[in-house]
Amino acid sequence: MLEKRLVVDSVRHLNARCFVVAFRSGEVAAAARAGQFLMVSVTDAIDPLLRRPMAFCELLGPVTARTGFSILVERTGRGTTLMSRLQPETELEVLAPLGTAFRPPSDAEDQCCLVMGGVGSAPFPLLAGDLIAAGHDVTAFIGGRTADHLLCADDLDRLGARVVLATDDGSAGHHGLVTEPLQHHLDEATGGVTVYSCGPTPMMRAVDDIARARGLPHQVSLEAPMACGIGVCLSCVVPVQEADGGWSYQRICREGPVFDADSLIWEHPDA
Amino acid sequence: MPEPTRNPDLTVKVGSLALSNPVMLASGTVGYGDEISKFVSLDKLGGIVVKGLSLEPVRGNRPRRIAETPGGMLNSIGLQNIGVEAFVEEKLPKLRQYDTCVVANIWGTTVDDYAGVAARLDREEGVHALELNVSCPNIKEGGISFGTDARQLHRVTSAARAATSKPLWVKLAPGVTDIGLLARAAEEAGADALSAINTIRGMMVDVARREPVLSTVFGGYSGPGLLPVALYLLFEVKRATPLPLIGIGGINELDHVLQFMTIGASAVQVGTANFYNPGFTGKMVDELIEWCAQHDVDSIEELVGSLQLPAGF
Ligand SMILES: Cc1cc2nc3c(=O)[nH]c(=O)nc-3n(C[C@H](O)[C@H](O)[C@H](O)COP(=O)(O)OP(=O)(O)OC[C@H]3O[C@@H](n4cnc5c(N)ncnc54)[C@H](O)[C@@H]3O)c2cc1C
Ligand SMILES: Cc1cc2nc3c(=O)[nH]c(=O)nc-3n(C[C@H](O)[C@H](O)[C@H](O)COP(=O)(O)O)c2cc1C
Ligand code: FES
Repeated sequence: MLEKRLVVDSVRHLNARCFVVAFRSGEVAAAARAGQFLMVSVTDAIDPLLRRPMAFCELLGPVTARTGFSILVERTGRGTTLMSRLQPETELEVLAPLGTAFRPPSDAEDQCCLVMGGVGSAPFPLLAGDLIAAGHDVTAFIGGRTADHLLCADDLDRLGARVVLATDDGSAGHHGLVTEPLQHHLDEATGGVTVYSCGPTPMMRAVDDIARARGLPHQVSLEAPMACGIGVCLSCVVPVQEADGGWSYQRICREGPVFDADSLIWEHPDA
Repeated sequence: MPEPTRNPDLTVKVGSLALSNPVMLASGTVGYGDEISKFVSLDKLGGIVVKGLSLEPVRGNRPRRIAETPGGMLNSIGLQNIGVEAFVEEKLPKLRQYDTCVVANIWGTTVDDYAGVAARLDREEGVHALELNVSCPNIKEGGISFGTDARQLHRVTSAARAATSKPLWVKLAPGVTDIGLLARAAEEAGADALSAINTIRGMMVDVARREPVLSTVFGGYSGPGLLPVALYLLFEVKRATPLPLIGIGGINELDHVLQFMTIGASAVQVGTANFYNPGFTGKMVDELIEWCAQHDVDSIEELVGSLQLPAGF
């Protein structure tokens, strides 16, 4: 784990809400794995107080000599609004890499379905690059409210993934939920499939229903408000199934953010 | 000839317990030391107060458990902890290896709970002191917090006192009309030192959903905004009792450490700053050494309680 003051290399605005921030740091990039995240301060002052958790989106520079990494940010509140105004050469405090990474499919022959909604696309360019490099066939299912809410389609296409779009309003791709083309794809698929998802909880839960019904391994990346990102505050917990039939809280920042969907309890247990 | 540079003496005493320096980690903000030790060497600190321990493991509250606020944050973790037994088995052996004071923060929902945890830890080498978190409801007394009622505070402190010969600290709760009264109750019941303060109650509202942000509606406010409240309450506690004091609340820079000590704290605990700056306490120790050198302070204990009040106060 590295505690670093990093320099912003560039800020690229994708639309009115979303932007990509590139940081210079070969060291952090060399250590980062798909699915892991960083905690980034948005100011040197004490307001806003807490760092923001952000997924690694892409690693920059050649594989053997990384020069930096990027994050994809959606402006939703005060912290991300301040980040949207970042200028190149600004320095920010970063803790990274944090949390668990996506694991490769247990079967080297598996094809991979990456299912994402909104800014949940953020960790997938990095994952898709790794999976494709390892020889997996990768299809990315990208969902959003409108065409404007579909993120990373070009990046995933450039990396060699098959890209399937779905929008609630039909402004791009399939008119409807992203799980519909996923179902269709799985109906046609031959051979093993590993599923990965990240996005709004109802989407991940629907993907999980589909994966469970077909007995497919499914890894999800979860989020929760985090004060520390390093496991000390216990703010980021999620209920997880125990082997003995009971459940316990696990920390999304340490035991996650990537979990086997099998272990998750989507409906919070009582008491 | 230039004076040889002397290392200032940072050791402080909290009653019979000597700390290598006054900077400690506050309960609930550093777990049991596992993760934070990657950012600050525990050997470098005066001490660590571990997450509040109860007799049995506790799951804690349903999320959402935190909210950021102007100048701080709210939490309602619900005292999630692994229980005193697992602490002794799994965490204490590692903590014993550090050259630092280990303070066990303990709590319960009955007087007997507190006494039980205190008795269990009394046998354990490597636990240097116990700190009672009295900001908990007494379920046998209609849920009134132990820390807000002088009689209850006296009872719970006496029970813990009888159960342990280790130094006993009582961590005072801030939501009271006269904190001096509670400080004296703890003193009379046999506390060796008082720490102040715990979080103060607060709430935030999600207007779009017309709902409280926290699942428990309200929670504990901590962080920079707490500083002046904590300094003032420590001042009132100091006026009420001669016991050694530990200052807690809103510490975000060295000056805040020094302010607590000037009022009368022998040591301080840092909480929320560990979240947004996990290496913070190590930096405080370095800066404290530098400050002493620059201000010709040979021993930091000179500062403790050196506050000059206006005439007639
Ligand atoms: C592991 C992880 C990875 C993430 N990756 C990305 C990413 O790649 N891109 C991206 O745009 N967003 C990502 N998020 C969500 C992002 O952290 C929040 O959108 C962001 O913190 C909101 O900050 P704000 O100040 O704009 O919002 P505010 O609402 O003003 O924030 C107030 C507080 O709530 C917290 N908070 C609010 N919403 C969320 C949320 N959805 N998740 C976690 N904390 C929240 C903030 O961190 C802050 O402490 C990730 C979250 C987690 C946990
Ligand atoms: C997330 C969180 C958990 C806490 N848990 C405990 C606890 O278990 N026992 C306790 O006595 N105090 C607990 N506290 C209170 C702190 O130890 C400290 O008294 C308070 O946060 C004020 O200091 P600060 O402003 O430096 O954070 C907790 C505080 C926070 C923020
Ligand atoms: S964010 Fe603090 S424990 Fe996970």
